[in-house]
Amino acid sequence: MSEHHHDHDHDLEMKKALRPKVERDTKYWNSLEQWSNDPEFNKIATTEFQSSPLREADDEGGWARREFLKLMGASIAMASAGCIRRPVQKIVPYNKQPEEVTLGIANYYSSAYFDGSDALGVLIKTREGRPIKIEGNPFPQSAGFRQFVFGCAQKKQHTSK
Amino acid sequence: MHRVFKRTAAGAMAFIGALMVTTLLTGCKFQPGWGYNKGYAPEQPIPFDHSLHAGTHKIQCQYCHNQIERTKHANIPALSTCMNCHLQVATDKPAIQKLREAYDNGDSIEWTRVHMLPDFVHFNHNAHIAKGVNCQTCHGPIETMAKVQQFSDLSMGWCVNCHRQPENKAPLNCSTCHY
Ligand code: HEC
Ligand code: HEC
Ligand code: HEC
Ligand code: HEC
Ligand code: HEC
Repeated sequence: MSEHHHDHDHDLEMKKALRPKVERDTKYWNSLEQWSNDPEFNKIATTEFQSSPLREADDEGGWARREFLKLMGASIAMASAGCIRRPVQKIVPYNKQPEEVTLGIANYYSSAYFDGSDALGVLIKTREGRPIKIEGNPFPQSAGFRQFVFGCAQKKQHTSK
Repeated sequence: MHRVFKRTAAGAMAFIGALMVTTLLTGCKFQPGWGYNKGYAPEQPIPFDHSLHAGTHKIQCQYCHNQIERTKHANIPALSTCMNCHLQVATDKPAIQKLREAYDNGDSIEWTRVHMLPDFVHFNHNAHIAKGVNCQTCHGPIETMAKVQQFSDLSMGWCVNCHRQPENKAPLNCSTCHY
């Protein structure tokens, strides 16, 4: 077993020695100009990420400064836009106040759902008259709703937040 | 040449900096309340006057904002509440005729909201009213305002400052107001 192992290692060493050597250039390049080591390109590359108005070669047409002013203008505009008031909202009261509605407090109605063979007690959460959630009625009265026909809602209020 | 430009550039930057600060200051910081909406008093579709109703005629706040002791919201009264009086009172006035028309058509009046906390803050009126905090402590002298104006800045510092007073025994945990 161990002998066999030894042979195997030896074979591998031999194979490796016989492989052709590949010269790898581990320098990667992003553009042909970089690859060809273009002097003009190298000069620009050194200042690529310097957006300072004081950067080298600025006096050439003053382009960087103009860009700088443009950016500053934009940031001033954005900074002042940030102070504008939050969006305008409207409060639209009821025409006639419904007795059972208190804004901010949900009303719960128990009702029944008929699935074809059985009636199931359900609890419906409503906000300003709109149903927003239906769930199984956790209260024991739901047993009493077995006789209820679907859609026959009984008003049953529990207060909650 | 370079030196000169550098100096001009530095000067320009200082100038722009100064300009920016001034813009910021005049843009929002000189507004009352430092960028909050203190003093905000929008136009309303009907010139409803608190100084007349709550001031001159001494109508209780809760006559109109009647659900305030029960819920976090202070409701704006239904048109039917106005009509308790305005079916008879000042029926010749254009504003009241507009009110009457909306009421008869089953419509409403779209009031512009004055006070508005961000959605990530939870405030409830009932807890404060139950502890006897006056409307005026937070809303100022509403009964003298012809047009409602935001009196406090409604900043977090404002809420917490009052909560911090030992006699108030009000909660200070973040989750009281943010959840
Ligand atoms: C006759 C009914 C009536 C009475 C009495 C009344 N209000 Fe109002 N209140 C209104 C109506 C209608 C609005 C909505 C129009 C507006 O903003 O001016 C309103 C708006 C407000 C607002 C601003 C709501 C918002 O948009 O943020 C506050 C605060 C307020 N009332 C406080 C009070 C206080 C405090 C009192 C008692 C001193 C009072 N009100 C008495 C009817 C009334
Ligand atoms: C408790 C009675 C009462 C209630 C409720 C009431 N008002 Fe008045 N309102 C008055 C009285 C009194 C006057 C003064 C009438 C006058 O000067 O001729 C008045 C005047 C006004 C005026 C001024 C009319 C004008 O042009 O001179 C407006 C607008 C008005 N009310 C709107 C409302 C609105 C909106 C509501 C409901 C949110 C409301 N009122 C609820 C009693 C009431
Ligand atoms: C502890 C401070 C405080 C007290 C006391 C207080 N309010 Fe408010 N009120 C607020 C804040 C904060 C808001 C904004 C709530 C929001 O945007 O969610 C507000 C909003 C309102 C609104 C606009 C509707 C709403 O709920 O957003 C009305 C109307 C109002 N208050 C009336 C009253 C009246 C009337 C009283 C007295 C009975 C009163 N408030 C007492 C702080 C207070
Ligand atoms: C003028 C004083 C005052 C100001 C201003 C004030 N509060 Fe309070 N707040 C109180 C007091 C007093 C209590 C204690 C109520 C209690 O013990 O039940 C309280 C309690 C609360 C509670 C807990 C209510 C509960 O259900 O137990 C919340 C939430 C709250 N305040 C939110 C706010 C927010 C948000 C603001 C600012 C927009 C604010 N408060 C501004 C006095 C104030
Ligand atoms: C008594 C009520 C209250 C308590 C307690 C409270 N906050 Fe606030 N917080 C507010 C209000 C009101 C605002 C909204 C201010 C505004 O309009 O920008 C706010 C805003 C904030 C904001 C957003 C700030 C911004 O500039 O937009 C952060 C973050 C925050 N709170 C964190 C906290 C932390 C952390 C705690 C606990 C140490 C805490 N809050 C406790 C009422 C409260």
